[in-house]
Amino acid sequence: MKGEILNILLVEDNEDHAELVKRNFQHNCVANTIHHVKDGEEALNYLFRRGLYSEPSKSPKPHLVLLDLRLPKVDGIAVLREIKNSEALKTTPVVILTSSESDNDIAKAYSSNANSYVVKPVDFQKFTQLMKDLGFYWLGWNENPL
Amino acid sequence: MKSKSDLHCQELLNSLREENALLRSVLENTEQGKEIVQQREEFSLLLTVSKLIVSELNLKKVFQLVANQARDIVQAELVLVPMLNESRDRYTYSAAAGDDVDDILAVSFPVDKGMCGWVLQNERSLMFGASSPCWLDDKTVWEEGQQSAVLVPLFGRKQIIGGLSALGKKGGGSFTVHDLDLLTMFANQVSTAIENAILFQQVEQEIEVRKQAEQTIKQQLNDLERKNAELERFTYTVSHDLKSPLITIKGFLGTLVSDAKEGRFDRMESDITRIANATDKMQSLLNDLLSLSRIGRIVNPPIEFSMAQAAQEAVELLHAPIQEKKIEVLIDHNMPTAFADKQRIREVLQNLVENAIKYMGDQARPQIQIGYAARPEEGAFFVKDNGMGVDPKYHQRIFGLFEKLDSGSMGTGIGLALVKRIIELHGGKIFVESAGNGQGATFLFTLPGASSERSLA
Repeated sequence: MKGEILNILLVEDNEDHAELVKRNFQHNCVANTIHHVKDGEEALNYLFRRGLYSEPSKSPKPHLVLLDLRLPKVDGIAVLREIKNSEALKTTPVVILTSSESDNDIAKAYSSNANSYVVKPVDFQKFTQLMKDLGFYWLGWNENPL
Repeated sequence: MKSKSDLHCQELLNSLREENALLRSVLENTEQGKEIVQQREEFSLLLTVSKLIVSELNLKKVFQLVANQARDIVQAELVLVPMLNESRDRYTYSAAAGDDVDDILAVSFPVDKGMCGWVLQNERSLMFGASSPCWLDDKTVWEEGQQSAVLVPLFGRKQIIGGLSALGKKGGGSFTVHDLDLLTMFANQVSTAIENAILFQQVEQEIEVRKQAEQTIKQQLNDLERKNAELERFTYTVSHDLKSPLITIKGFLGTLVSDAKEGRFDRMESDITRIANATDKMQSLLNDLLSLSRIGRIVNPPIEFSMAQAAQEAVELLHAPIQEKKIEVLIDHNMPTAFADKQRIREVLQNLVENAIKYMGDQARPQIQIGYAARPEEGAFFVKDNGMGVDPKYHQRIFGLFEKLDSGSMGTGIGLALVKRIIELHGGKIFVESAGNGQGATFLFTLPGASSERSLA
């Protein structure tokens, strides 16, 4: 399994944040491809291969989903629930990556079976460190049930 | 043969019978006797009347009963019940018994005016008749020209509370000292009943006031809870949305620094643009927040104004984009007038029209209509377009703070939140009707101050 290119689905409406995540993951030692979608609806289309993503080659099954919460159209929690309710997708690790520190959001995410909840650090050094750690942990140390 | 003692008994009985008959004839025929019989009747009347009055707690009824019964007792043409008001410098006729007395009620006089005033001020009875005319010059309208009158004070537990004024003896003639005694006795009997009824009424009013206060508090508590929830959502949104550009700024500044160290310059310009855009975004977010908080704080007094005119003004402010997109704008000039904060309502219309322009899509014949819909529940003003429309599943979300359905569109997403806030502050409701998918959208809002009649303008 090791050595293959790992797919990450990044669900992020903020173009700048997506760019920062992508740049940081490119620096990671683990080879990966980031597929970026801009809202909850697009994320569901990708995951369930609908609409623009009906072609399986355009939507490889992700090894990891990085999911923002406040998203246009369909919000992050709704996307998370769809993933965890789906037989095909429920084992895919979903890491909530958001700027919200609200207790309510954290509780909602975990009760909807999020695998992890991470708050985007404002500080650049910390942001870089987090991206490195996330990559190492989820794409390195963690054994995926694929 | 009758015994001696039998005979004696018979004699005794006879003499008793005779005495009895004599007594009766005395009672029925002498002046003194008549008086005793009459007094007994009067006392029993007084007693029944007092009992009746004491059992009544409705103040108005008590006063009326008192007036009616006093009139019967002293056989007066007119009986008035003057009562001192709270400040004790005026008195009001709380009840009257007699012919054509309706216009007497609730008339008030200063305490130094009239015979009643004299009684109330001096706390003494007053009586006059044909042989001893009233010496007071200053009389009220109903007292003027009376041949005879008897007035007595009504004492409460602590002080004088009012009086009884009997004017004009029925069938002519004058009131007697006996009438004065009767009225005084009656006054003493009923004063407690009156005072109790007054107290009862005060307690009832107090309870009513408290009930209303409780209601107000409940209402305020609800409002507070709603505002609290709103504030919580607000803080959440603000902390999230203000943090986002900060992450961008810090992130790309960090990238710039490390790129500079590595001598990498290819993406510097675009990264700097990202930083600049994020600061702009922050600035507009802060401005929006300020205007949102201002809505709650700065409220212009409501005035009645023409909605058609307000719509016209809103459309004029958006002249440039309307021209640019060649949008046809139709304003119904028969819209009802509104009673509201005109400036804010114009902002609402401007925001809704702006929204309609922004989400017009690639409509060949773009059109915006502003008008009034008389609906069965409640009439509503509307801004209708034939643009992109709003998918029914987002009909609620679009009114949320900084909510945007399209992350690429211009603006912070405050417009509809602002509009909703303004309408709700006016006690109205706002909602959208749209089938979505290019079928246009109609934003409707109600304004409780809107007149149901159409304006003539």
